[in-house]
Amino acid sequence: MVERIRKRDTRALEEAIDAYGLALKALVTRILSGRGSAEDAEECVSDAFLAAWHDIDKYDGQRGSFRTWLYTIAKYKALDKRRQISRLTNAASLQEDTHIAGASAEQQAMSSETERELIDLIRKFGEPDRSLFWLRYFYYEELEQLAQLFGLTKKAVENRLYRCRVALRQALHMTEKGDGVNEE
Amino acid sequence: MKNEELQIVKLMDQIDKEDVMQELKDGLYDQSLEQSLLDIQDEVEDKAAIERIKSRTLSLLQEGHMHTQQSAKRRFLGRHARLLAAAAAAILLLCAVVFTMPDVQAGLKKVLRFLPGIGVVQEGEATQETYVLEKPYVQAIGEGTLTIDGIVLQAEGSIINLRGREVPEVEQFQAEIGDRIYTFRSFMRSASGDWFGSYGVTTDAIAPVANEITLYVDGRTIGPLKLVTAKTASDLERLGASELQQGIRVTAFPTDLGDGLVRIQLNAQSQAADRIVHSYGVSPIGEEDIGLYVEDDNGTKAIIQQDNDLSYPSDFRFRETEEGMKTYTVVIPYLKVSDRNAASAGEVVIPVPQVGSSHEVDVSTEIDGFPVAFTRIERTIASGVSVDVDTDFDLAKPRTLNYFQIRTADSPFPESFSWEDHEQGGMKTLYLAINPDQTELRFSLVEPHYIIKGPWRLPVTVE
Repeated sequence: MVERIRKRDTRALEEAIDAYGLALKALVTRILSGRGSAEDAEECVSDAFLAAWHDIDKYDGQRGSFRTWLYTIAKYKALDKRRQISRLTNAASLQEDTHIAGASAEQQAMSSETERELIDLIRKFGEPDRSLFWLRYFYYEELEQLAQLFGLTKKAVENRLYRCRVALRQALHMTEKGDGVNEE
Repeated sequence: MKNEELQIVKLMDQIDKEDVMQELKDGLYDQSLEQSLLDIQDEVEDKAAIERIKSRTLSLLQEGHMHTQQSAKRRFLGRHARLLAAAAAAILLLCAVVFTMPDVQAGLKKVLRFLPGIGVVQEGEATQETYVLEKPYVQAIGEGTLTIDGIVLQAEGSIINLRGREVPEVEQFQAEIGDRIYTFRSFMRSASGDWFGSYGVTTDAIAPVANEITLYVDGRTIGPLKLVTAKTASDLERLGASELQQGIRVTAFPTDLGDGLVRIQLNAQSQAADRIVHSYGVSPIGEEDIGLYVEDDNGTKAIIQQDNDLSYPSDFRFRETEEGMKTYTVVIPYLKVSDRNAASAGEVVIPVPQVGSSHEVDVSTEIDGFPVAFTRIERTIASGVSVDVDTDFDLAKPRTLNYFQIRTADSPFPESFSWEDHEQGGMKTLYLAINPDQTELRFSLVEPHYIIKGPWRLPVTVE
């Protein structure tokens, strides 16, 4: 499929949409968390496939599956859309928007050191916790889906994720009120 | 998710995309799990959604062929319109709030200013100085273009809108205003090859009001660009036209772009503050033949320019029908709107059948005056049900319900779900995820999206 997309075979893109479109839509919908309409979600998915089409040469099969690559593109498309909708929905005036602009851009930046530390910490989680954590907090997966996927009870999933969160908070010196964490 | 979990999610959302791509190489998590998740999620099919995504994606890929294919161009327009539907909606909501205040209504004509390229008519003091870029400025860069779509300089703050086609995205740029340099940064951008950005000054400093500005974008000097005083209501009264239908006043503002091209920017003022206009029909609302059109005094329809220059669903261009023809009528047959704060009076409760079975139900409710009847529920899998619904969709009615969101009592946000529409429009079947041990569905209807019948006929004079 990837090679055919590289060769600009639109039928291959259609097959990709058939195969992953719904999963991507589900992901985008979870990330939008009720912001925007179903059209927004579908547009986001469409944009993700378009980005994949245009950037297919950036896809490196050594790094991960095509599916994962699509998921990651869609995730960030959805975040862009959500930020856009949130900021505009909260807009009170052109002036306030202007002030919000600078602040938001700064607040969303996480230092590369913190990012490195965060990823290293996640890497230290054993399996299945590492995958559970990633699927839940990077891909916004539902607890019920994770329970089904891992053959665990929902409570067991919650307990494992709780332990991960506690470990992360301790390592990053975070409190539950958000100290040390940049809020969106 | 609980707040404590959301804090972690927010942290994870800040991880750089490229870093994620790099980390995946080293097996950050078990990627094979995604296939298993797919297997679970694919149990609930939504072929209609897949077809819509496919159609939109492929039509955008065919951009190069769209100059000669009218229907394809409409889809392309629709994409751009939708890109900023939320943006325009928010701005229009703001306008709606402003315009519904009685004292503002009383002094409306004295204080309105049209901000070209920004997609908004702004209310302000009569003495307030506001300078704007009258027409878009297009800078060719290689095979692409960078368009300065709108500039507004005023004491309360400045805003500059840029659009790019086949040029790199612009995160920020500098602008020289009154002998000082200010940095502008994007706070709203949509991108997928073509992109749009709205920029504000990054510091607390307010850029001065001036009639000239020079932009320094990625090493290029653009300008100096001459700015003009924003047109006020008295100017607009001569150029624009408005009509009130069903509590929504729509106004059209024309700008002569030269070369026989006219830009129209629409503005809606609603008597209901929470009502948002999502579409004026520039992009199709369901059926192709209910969209907006422009005709001259002879009844000849103008060709609507549906290139990639659009930013807002309220913004379009048309080509003059013949040289010298300066009077036209913009006709908007329908508006697509939503009411974000509307909710059904109570919860809908529908018993969930056993796996593999279905039953008729007779559950009725209403939202925002629209009757909604749930007629059947089917459970094909343990974790999902389909529910047939009748919203009595009928475009002949003054208002007809297009779709709604649903919300459960324990969630502040609408639930994620998919649905299938009837061919003529309106919801037909909802597909909802459930817990395997769930015995009933219990939810409220919120945020109805509906279509309001016009027409709004707006005569405009091009000058």
